[in-house]
Amino acid sequence: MHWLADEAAMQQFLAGLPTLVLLGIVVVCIAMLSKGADWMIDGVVDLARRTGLPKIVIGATVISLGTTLPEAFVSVMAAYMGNPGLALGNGVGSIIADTGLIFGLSCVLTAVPVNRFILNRTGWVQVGAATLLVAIGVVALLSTAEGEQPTLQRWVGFLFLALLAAYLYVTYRWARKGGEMAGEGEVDEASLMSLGRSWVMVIGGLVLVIAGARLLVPSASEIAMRLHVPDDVIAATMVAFGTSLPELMTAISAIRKGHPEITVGNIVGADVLNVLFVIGAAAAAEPLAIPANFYYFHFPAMLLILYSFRVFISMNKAEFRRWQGAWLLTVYGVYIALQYGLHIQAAH
Amino acid sequence: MNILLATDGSACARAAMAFLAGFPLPDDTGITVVTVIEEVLSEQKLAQTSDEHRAAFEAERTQAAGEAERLLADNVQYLSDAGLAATSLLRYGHPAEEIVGAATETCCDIIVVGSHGHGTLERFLLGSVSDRVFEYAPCSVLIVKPGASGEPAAEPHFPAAADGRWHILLAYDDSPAARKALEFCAGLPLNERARVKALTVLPLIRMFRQDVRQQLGWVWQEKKEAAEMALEWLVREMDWKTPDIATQLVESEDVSQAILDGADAFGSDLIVLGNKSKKALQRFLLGSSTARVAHHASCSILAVRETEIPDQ
Repeated sequence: MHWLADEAAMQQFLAGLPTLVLLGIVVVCIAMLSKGADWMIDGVVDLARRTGLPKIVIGATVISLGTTLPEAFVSVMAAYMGNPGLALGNGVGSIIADTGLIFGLSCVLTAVPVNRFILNRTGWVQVGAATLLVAIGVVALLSTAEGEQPTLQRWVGFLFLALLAAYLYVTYRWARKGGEMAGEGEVDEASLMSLGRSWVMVIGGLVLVIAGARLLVPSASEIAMRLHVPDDVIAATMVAFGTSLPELMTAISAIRKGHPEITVGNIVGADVLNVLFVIGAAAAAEPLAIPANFYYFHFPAMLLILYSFRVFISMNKAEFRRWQGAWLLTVYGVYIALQYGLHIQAAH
Repeated sequence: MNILLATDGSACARAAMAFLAGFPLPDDTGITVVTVIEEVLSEQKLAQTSDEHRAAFEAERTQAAGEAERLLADNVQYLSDAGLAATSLLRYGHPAEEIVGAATETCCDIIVVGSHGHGTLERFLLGSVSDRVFEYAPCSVLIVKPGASGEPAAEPHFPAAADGRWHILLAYDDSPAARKALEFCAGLPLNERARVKALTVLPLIRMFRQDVRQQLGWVWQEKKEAAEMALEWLVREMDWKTPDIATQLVESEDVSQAILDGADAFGSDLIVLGNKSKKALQRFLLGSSTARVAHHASCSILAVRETEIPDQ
């Protein structure tokens, strides 16, 4: 099993596997990421509740960050392993999947209420963070010499992480202002897991997430090579979909249980974290070279979906409309189809 | 109230009959007892067989009809002795289809069937008439379960509670189907022989601990207040015939399990809940709490259907 630690051995091992097996590995890794995140969140929430940490803080930090853990680990792993296209593609692709696919699907299936409190606060951060990412990317492009590749430098990563800390604090303040204290109460000891079990879930979940990311990145890269598509295409489609499974499963569960209103907050919050946490952490780990097709494909697609979403918010009084969900789904579908259909080549 | 009681002469069917005989029903209740002789050969296939086979089949059919008539007569007598107006109906064909057909033709309000209490695997392999009736019935369905041991008692006894009173759990979510279930319960001549508990379950989303955020949100608090007000309303405004009404509001990840746990804790003889009309695709994608409760409850279930049978 030395190939688990040795990158070259890992790549050699994966290169010898049939494509279907590789796809199976990707599916298993995605399941590991999702389940690992679920366990970790469960364990950490219980530990946090034991310490008396208010639910409002837990909700604004642990749970928000926890559902974005799969994306973060995959992107950081990809950056560390020298695969910036995969790191960036996962982050940007997750935003597109969250808003285009998951939110679009939710609007088509049921009436999703417009939560003005969230959308007039976190909603603007969502659009602002994505626009900032693109703006920094464009500045990097314009200031890069001929023949070199524009890069998201480490300082950008640290900037995003600092903005993340500020965002989490502001989210907590907004939540207090929005009356989210009514649900606080005494900690019900009977509802908590045993301390040992909490720790097992945290550690076990962490192991699953790390292992899932460790195997997913090179497997996805190998599949990209065999399909003759750039890494960022695989990252923005297959990997991004897989790492957005927590958001998808939560949205479906919310619809089934008659609580579609939580989808808005989840998706908007996830989009913010995909920029500030996922891409921020990846860039802080390793500078991220930005492949050319991000400028004429991934970034425009992301902005189209997010700006459409913003327009819909201003149009709607009470609920998102079904046709708006259909529009978001269509943009997502065209984005996916074009990537494979056009075989966009990364300008490496 | 028109009731269609389906019987196959089994112990489970006798339990269903005993349930009806003891349950507080409105005075104007009429019961039609139906049994179905399953046809193994269609008329067309029968015509293709030899004369000898045809004669043997006819003899068997005549014998089965005789036994069925005797079964129906016994059932009618039993119900009449219990003070209920009862008639009989003999049908031929597929049991579930014929029961549903008879329900439509007689414009009944409730179909009553006994449940053999098969496990999931048995139901999958062997099928279940009560399941099919439950799924396709045009009206409400009462599934009478075997006793707590899983086997129907030789002499079925209802109510089962130690205090000798009927314990009825009404699962209520303020939907149109639940309101119909509420109207049914409130319309029963219950008096002090019955205890009713109305249970509302607010569903939590536990995956990725979304329940923490859910419970903090003002939307959740509003829903909780609305549920509490609905429960207060149903106690105050409905014209209950029994003084013993309790309510309970529970927050749970699994609505069906919370209802089942509530029924066990209350010692329920009967769970009454609304059965929302869902298309097959909706049922497949979104599931059905009513069906899950019906499958797993240890006590009897009355699923009150939201839609009415069209007048004949």
